[in-house]
Amino acid sequence: MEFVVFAIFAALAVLAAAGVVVARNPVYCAVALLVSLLSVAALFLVLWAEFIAVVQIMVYAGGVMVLFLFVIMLVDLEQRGFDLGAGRIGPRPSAFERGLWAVAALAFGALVLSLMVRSLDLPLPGADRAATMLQGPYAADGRGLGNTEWIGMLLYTDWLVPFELASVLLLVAIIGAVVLARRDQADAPAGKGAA
Amino acid sequence: MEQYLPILGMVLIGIGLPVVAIVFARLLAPHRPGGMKGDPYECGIESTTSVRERLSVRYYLIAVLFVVFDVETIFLFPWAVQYQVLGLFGLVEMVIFIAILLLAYFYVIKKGALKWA
Amino acid sequence: MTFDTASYVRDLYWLIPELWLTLVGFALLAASPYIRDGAGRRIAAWASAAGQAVALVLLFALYAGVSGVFGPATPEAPGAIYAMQFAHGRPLLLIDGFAIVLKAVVLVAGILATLMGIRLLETERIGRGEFHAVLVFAVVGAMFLISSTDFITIFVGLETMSLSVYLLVGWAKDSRKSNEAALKYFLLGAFAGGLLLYGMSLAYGATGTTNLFGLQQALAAGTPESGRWLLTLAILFMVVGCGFKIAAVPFHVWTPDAYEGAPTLVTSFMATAVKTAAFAMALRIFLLGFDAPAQAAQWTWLFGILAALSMTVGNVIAVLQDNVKRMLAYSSIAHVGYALMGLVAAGAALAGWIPEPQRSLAIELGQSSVVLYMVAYAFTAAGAFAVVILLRREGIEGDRIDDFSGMARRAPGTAAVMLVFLLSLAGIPATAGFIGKWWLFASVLQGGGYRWLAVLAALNTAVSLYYYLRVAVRMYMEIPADELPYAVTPSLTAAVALAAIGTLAIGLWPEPVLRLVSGTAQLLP
Repeated sequence: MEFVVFAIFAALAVLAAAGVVVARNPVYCAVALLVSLLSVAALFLVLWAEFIAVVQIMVYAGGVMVLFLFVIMLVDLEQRGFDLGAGRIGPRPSAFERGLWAVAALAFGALVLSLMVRSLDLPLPGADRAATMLQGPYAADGRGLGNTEWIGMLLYTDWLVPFELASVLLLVAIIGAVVLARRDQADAPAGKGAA
Repeated sequence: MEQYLPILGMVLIGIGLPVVAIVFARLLAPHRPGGMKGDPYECGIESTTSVRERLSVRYYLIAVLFVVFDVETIFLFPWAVQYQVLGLFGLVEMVIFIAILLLAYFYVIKKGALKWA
Repeated sequence: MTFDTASYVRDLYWLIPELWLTLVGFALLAASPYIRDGAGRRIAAWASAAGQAVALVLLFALYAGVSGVFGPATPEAPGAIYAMQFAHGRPLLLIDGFAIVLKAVVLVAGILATLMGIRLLETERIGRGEFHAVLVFAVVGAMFLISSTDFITIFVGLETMSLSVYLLVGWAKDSRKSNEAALKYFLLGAFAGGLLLYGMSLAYGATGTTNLFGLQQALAAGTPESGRWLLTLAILFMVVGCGFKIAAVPFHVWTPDAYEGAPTLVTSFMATAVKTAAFAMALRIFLLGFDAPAQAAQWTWLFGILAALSMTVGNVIAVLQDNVKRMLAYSSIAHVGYALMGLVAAGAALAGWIPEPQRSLAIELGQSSVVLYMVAYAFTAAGAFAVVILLRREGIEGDRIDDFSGMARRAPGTAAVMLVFLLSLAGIPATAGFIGKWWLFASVLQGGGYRWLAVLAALNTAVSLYYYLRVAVRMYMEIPADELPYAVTPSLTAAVALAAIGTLAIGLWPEPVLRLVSGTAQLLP
């Protein structure tokens, strides 16, 4: 049962990710990315990580996706014929360059594949630990605490310093957005309008 | 996994309804394309320019602010479920966390970043 | 589950400098919407510098007074004066001599960058009030990063620092160069952060812990066959990630453009504070987390290659530059190569390639020589960048080598100070750069098969003399390029003077700094 669900969503995630790369219309790319992100959320559920699954949907499928769509709308796609391929900037990469890219991609793929092959079916402390955390004493079983409760318990006690620092990080992100997206009076002679 | 079956059911219904609607529309409605039918229009008025206008970069600011505060709400969930255990200590922590982002909100407002004129 | 709230509150005592600085950042941010004129912006800059100076004082006042150099070891974390925020019984942050000295370096770099840039921000018309808040947040992130001994805290600290600096690099948003710099730095920096994170997740998979002390224990206990390959890849990814962050060849491609395009005070901050924090991260991860012989053998030769490439490529390409900021960017890449020698020396000792009498000395020397080099380089590089700012005037970019022509005739004092910085960068005796290089050479000469790095570094130093002295020749042997007065301001003079005093003091009277730095070698048990 679990394997079937995993197989379906894993395949969907990979196919949709390929769609992001292959599709020429940027809005299709965004939709394919959305499918991929949602499939990954389903994979988190298979792993019993409900909290991460919800975060995946809320932050990635929700927030980050909105950001992507906004950026697509900000860029003048009409001018580029609404086709990512037609709007290429700079010269076409030479065959040598593309060959290099292919070699790099293959090498990286081989590396990751070797990782999977060599660590398959062998005990991994990290995986075991995650499994015990998610299914063992940490799992929701009516008596114990669920995954979200455990995250709450740990994040706001032992991990409180990185947690508070994260809010400074978010603060800087907001300053960045305001500074970069907004023209203020103090700036050099402004053009007409922000667009 | 069984407890997620209802959600799966919801997803299937969600996908199913539009599929059914589109298929039935295809089957039942008369199909006569051509003429002005394919043209875009705005509330019955013929459109004068392209619909794909370039948006102001200010919308980007809105999107970024949305993402940041979205992430903030994520942090509220695990705190809320453990509120009883964390007690006052957790409350103070959360107040500090939110106060920092409130400062960001204050900054955004004061900078007039949300002013539209 | 119960928890002891008092212990968390107690821990805050050890974070007072960081907390104070965060508050300074908040205050600067809250004030920024009300700052509308040059006077207000100057006050904000001075307030920021003063805030950082107070943090520096707090840092030493609170912790340096602890007995001995930096106090005795605690049972939880040997060599630390205080280990705080335990998760699963292991510290997330460490307040040890290493952290205090490097945090001081970052603070000094921040103060110097703030002071040298007050006029520059006006000339470039980028003096928005929140600049100083973001710079302070970058310093806060760097300080957390330096103390971190857990992948989680490392990553949050690193991202807080990096995000702020991406923003600062692109601060001149009407300048195409600045835009390009920010975009390149951001994309490659984000990519490097991703690689680092991937490496961290692999290390977690192999050992079941995100903590560097936990990693150390797990590796000492021996890893299963399956974990070994995982760890190799983790090390590979983390070396690449750290390589990007410290700007080592071949992961340096963003450096020249980012350094040239960024406002010069930000360039100075990147070359000094950001680099110091990134080195602290690399030292903690590899000397603490991956200190087992099998793993040390893997990362040592990787860093050995990076060191050799960085010093050679950096110096050779620097010779060809006509833009001083770009030249200093390549020079900083070369300096990364030198500094990596210390890490390599310590790694060779950890890998067991140096027999016992020298082994512990090599580890200690390798580690503290990197710290010493960061101290020395921070003063020197900040000083050099400050002099470049002096040449930036209305209508004159001032970053070409030609702009230095005739400086000795126009401003003999400034030219003399610049000469000191150049000699220090080249590593000539009586300057900080010499002391730093001396220790690095000493560490790598302990043995372990990396003596050739010292030979290469010596050859490279000879090459570097050419392009450093090229600037000196322009200053002393040519007629002035223009008549426009230099952009002298009290704050810029103060920054140059501070940097010069630091450079000369370490060079002429190194004992206090050496004693301080020796105290940082307790990072390892």
